[in-house]
Amino acid sequence: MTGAAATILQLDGVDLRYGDTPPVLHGLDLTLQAGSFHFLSGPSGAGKTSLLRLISLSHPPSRGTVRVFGREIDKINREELATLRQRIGVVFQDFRLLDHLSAFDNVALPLRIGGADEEQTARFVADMLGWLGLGDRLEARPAELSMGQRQLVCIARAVVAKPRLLLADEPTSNIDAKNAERLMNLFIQMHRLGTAVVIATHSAELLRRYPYAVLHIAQGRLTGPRPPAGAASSGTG
Amino acid sequence: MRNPDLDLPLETTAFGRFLLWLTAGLVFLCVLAFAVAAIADAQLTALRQEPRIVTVALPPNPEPAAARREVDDVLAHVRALPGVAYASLIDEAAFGELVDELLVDDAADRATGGLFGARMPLPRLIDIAFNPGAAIDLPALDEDISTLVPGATLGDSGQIERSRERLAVLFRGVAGSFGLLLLAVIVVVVVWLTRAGLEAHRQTIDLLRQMGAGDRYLARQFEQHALAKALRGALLGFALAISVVIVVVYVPTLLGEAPLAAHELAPVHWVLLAMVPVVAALLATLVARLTAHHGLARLR
Repeated sequence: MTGAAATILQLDGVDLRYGDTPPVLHGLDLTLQAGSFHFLSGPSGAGKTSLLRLISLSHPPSRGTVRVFGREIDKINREELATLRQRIGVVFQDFRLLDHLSAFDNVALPLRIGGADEEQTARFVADMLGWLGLGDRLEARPAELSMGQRQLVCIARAVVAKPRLLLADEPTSNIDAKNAERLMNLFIQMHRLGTAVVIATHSAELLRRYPYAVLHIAQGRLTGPRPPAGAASSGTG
Repeated sequence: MRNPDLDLPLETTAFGRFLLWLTAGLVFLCVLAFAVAAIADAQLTALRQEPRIVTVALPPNPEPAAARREVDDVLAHVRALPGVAYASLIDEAAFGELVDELLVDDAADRATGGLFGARMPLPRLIDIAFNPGAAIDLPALDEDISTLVPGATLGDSGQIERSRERLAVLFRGVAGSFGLLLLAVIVVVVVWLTRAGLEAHRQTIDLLRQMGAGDRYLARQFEQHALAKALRGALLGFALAISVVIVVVYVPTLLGEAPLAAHELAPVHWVLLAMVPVVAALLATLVARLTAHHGLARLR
């Protein structure tokens, strides 16, 4: 990436707390550029998922400023917030598929919400699921899919609308090594096409194999990004 | 490829399960209430189109020429009044037979002439029919006739019609109000079901919001579901209610028996009844949309 890349996320002195509990994130400062790629690592309970929730605009900060795509989220209305969210894809650790919808309709959700026509939606979704090896499971409900297949559907849903920011929480935890590699290649491909990618992971293998910058979080405080030694990191913090 | 299910699984909650049947039941009652109001309105219209009859009773006069003159004077006076459709002397023989039938029990006595045959003095009756809606000053008329024929009295059979009119107005008002109340109940039911739906699907709503669904998109889910369910329920309730109305209004007539409802409904009444399910469905849809919007604004 070049230095001229657009800033898509900026956190300035951000705290996050749930209700009256102590803050789970403290004084975060972070900048993500378009087309950057970061791993987010840290021990369980360190605040990885909370940080992803904050970045995905699921939860407002308790203190500090969050700017996404140049907009300060405290200063936008609900409809604008919804529009910004359409540009963010999220892979949830617990998948969050809608049980009453088929794999096809689950993946189609972001496109339909974004107002895509049905013909385009059908083509994109079928291509995406076919590429992930689920071409014969389009009409299957989540309950009829294996854990790995559900995770693939969840990932397909996150990327089908070509988001400008992709957040993935342990995206390879339930799938085999071959599919994990294909998914990582998909994420890398998206990053090369300009999508900023943040992947939260525990996997040392993933961090070792893919030489991208690492954001480390511990006890709600962020360190990094830390470029891996000798690797071509992208993005800045 | 589009799955007919909506993004929110509303079918699985009270919103989806009960909306159709509650709407059907409420529209059924609502159409019946408005049908009663319509029947009362038809009755009222018919009553108001009937001429009002006032009867003048002239005391017996044994002098035939004087008696005829009295009748002529009264007829000439009332026929000159504004709003009088007609005025005529009731046939004395027919009146006598009627009195005999009412007062003489024994058929043998009636055969020998009865009271009328025995020359019992009977009053002479003059019917005066006023056009519908005509302004009638009965006290003035009573005074005029008493001046023309001392001892003459005025009988107003319109008292009974006015009682029937008041009753019809009362029925129309009560039944119409009940119908409106039932429409209000539909509003309350939809508000309650929509709120329950919002609460039950909060996690799904959060997920859809995460994907960028705005309040308008989410509210449309409730709106579409409400329209589909409420329209089907309303048409079902309407069909059942109209069947009942037809049975009550028309079937006895077709079978040659006295109809339970005395007056057939006018086309305008049928049109108004047919609008009830449409109004109910549109009302449910609008209320679901507004309630969802309001509820979503409160769900952070």
